[in-house]
Amino acid sequence: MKLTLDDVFDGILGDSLEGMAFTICDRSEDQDFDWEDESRLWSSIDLLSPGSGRLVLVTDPETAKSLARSVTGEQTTDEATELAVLEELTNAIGGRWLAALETTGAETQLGLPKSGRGSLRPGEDAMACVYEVDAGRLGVLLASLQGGG
Amino acid sequence: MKSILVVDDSAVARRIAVKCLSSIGVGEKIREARNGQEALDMIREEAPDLILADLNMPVLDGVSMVRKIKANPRLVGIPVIVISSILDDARRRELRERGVDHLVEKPVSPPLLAAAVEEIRERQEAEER
Repeated sequence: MKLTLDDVFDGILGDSLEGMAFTICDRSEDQDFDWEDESRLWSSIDLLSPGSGRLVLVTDPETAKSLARSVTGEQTTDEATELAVLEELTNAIGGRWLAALETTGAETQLGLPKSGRGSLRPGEDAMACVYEVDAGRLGVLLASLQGGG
Repeated sequence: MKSILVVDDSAVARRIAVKCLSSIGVGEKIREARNGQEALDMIREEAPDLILADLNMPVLDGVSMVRKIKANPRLVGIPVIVISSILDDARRRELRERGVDHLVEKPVSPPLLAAAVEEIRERQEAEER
């Protein structure tokens, strides 16, 4: 069976979430996601080479809290920790995605992760996908830097 | 390996690394640095027995930090484990050439770290014999 890029990305996302947050992560059958919910927490990282793009993870506060608890092993977390956990997940997933795309032997380059709270409207060229994790739902955007997202 | 320096700009990543080290019983004294420059400053004050370093960091990145460590005769013998998500073939080759002892892909886990530490210990013991 030939793997598609979607399969590769799903594998990287699943491995990273399982490895860091001990949670199963599957592409959701229900792709409806309120990207413009102001309460959402997000983290993004620029994918600089090969190509150029941006990876964004978006989730609700409860899912972010649950992921942070799993990653840190601490029962009490604050929003700064939850955002830092999202940043670290974005960093791990973005780096592994670039390494998987790189086939010419050139070096991959990644920006530094950023995070915040608020709505995000996916750009027209963004690939938006929703995943189910143990704790809730995770929205993922892959976009070109020119296209926003 | 009593004294270990963990270098990562992410507090969460540092916490994960420290937890992994604790769970495999390595490191009596673990210090943390937020970037390569801060790490170099701490190493000059007191050289650790092992360095765990990320690559993608502000101020001074991991590759530049390793280059400076391995260019210093006083520090060149300190083993370095790089923990990163961006370990493509080219970067792996470059880091090996620069003297990095072990490369671990994020997300790091206790078994992965234990294997890296064990390999470094075995190499050190072989060199001492």
